[in-house]
Amino acid sequence: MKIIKITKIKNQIKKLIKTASFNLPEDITDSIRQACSAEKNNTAKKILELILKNSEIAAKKKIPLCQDCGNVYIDIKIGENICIEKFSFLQDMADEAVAEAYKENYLRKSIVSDPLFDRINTKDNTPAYLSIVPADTLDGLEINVFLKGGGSENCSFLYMLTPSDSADAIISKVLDAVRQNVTKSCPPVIIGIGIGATSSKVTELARKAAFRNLKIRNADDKYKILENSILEKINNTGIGPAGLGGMTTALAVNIEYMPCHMATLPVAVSFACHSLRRASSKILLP
Amino acid sequence: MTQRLKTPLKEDDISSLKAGDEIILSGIIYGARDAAHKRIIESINSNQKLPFELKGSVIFYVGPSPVPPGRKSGAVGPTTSARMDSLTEPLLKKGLMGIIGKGDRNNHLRKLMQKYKCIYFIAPGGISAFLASKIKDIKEIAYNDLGPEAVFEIEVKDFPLFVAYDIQGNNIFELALRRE
Ligand code: SF4
Repeated sequence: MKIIKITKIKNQIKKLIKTASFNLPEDITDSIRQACSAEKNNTAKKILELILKNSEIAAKKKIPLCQDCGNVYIDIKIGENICIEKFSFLQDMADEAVAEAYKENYLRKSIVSDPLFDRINTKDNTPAYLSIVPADTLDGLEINVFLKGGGSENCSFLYMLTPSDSADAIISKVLDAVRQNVTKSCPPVIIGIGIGATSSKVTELARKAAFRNLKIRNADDKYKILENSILEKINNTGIGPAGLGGMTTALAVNIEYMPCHMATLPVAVSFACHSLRRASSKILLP
Repeated sequence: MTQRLKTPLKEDDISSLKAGDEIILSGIIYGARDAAHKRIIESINSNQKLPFELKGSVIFYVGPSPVPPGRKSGAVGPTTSARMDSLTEPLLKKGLMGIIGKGDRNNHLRKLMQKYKCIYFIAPGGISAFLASKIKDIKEIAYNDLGPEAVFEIEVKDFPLFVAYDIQGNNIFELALRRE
C-alpha cells in the first residue's frame, strides 16, 4: 500500500485551479486559431481574435479568463494500492483548497449557500463538487479540475427519450437546444452530450464530454460520425461567435455513452463556453 | 459603422444607432445584476433613494472578479441578460437608456426597450481580461453584502460593444441569421 498525503492533494488542487483560471488549454486555442482562419465573417473573425488576445492577457497579467470563475469540479482517479491518508477529510480538504485558491488568486466567488430562499454568497466559492473514480492502470493518482460558469450551466438539458428514438431525435433535440440558448453561453461553445446510463448519471457523462480534450475523438465510428454531423449542423445555423453571425457557433461536439436500461434512452446536453477551464496533473508513485 | 459614445446618454445619441453598429463607449457605467436589480426595484417601489441616477444611465450586467493588487480592475464581462428580462421595466420607466449584456432576450422585453427608448448593447462574453484593460476605475457603491452582485460604478475608456437592439426594433441576432 502506498500512502499519499492529503496535503499534497490539496496543494495540487490549488495549483490546478490557478492554472485553469488564467490559461486557456492548448487544444482550445488551437481550435480557435483554426476557426479564425476559416471564418469568412469579419465580425466573427474579430471576436475569435479577441478571444485569443484575451487568453494572452489573462496568462500574462494573471487576470481571470472570465469574470465568472465558475463552480469547481474535482475528479480524482485513484490507482491500484494507493491509500489517501485521512481519506475521510477529502471533501474538507478540497473545500479548503478551493477557498484558498479563490482568495489568493483574486477569483470571483460565485456560490450561494441556500439555492432557493436565502441565496447568500458563501464568500469562498465552496463547496467543491468532488468525485472519486477507481483507475486500475494508474500508478498513483490523477487530479482533474474543471471550472464551469453559470451562464453555460443554465443551458443544460436532460431528455428521457424512448428506445425507439433514433440518432435523428438526438440531433433535433440538440439543435433546438442550441438555437434556443446558445447566445446565452458565449459561443463558440463546446457541446457535451451524454447518452445512456441513467437520468442522474447521464448529466455527469455530458459534463465529462464537454470537458474532453478536443483532440480526442470518439473511438467508435458510429459516435464519431454523429459528433461530426451534429457539429456541422450547429455551425450551419450561422449563429456564430457571440451570436453575431458566422460559421463558428461550436468548436466541437463530444459524445460520451454508457449502457442503459432496455426501457430507456437518457440523453443529456451540457454547454461549455469557449472559456473552457480545465487542468490536470498526476501524483505518480511507481 | 463604428461610433463613439459617452455616458450619460442623451436621446440624440441613440436615436440613429442601428443594430449591428460597433460602439466604442467611454464614461461611467453601472454594474448591476440579478440580486442588485431586486433591491433597486424594492427601492423604486418604496420611493427610496436609488444607488445611482437611472436617467440617461447605462447598466452593465456584470459581477466582476476582485481587483488584484496593482491592477485597475479584475475580470469583467457580460452575464446573461435574459435573466433580467422580468426585472427591467421599472428601471426603463425611470429613464435607463442603455443596457450592456449578452445573448438574446424575450420579445416582451424587446418591445419594452423600444417603447422606453433604451438601447441594448452586447459585449462578447469571456474576453474579460481584455475588457479589464479598458477600465480606468471600478468601485462598489451599494449593497456590499451581495459580494459580486453589488452595484459597481465603473469608468470605462473605449469599451468595445455592438448594438444588439436599436430603438427602431431591429435585432442583431435575427439580422446575423439572415445575413448568413
Ligand atoms: S458562459 Fe463562459 S465565457 Fe460566458 S460568462 Fe459564463 S463562464 Fe464566462
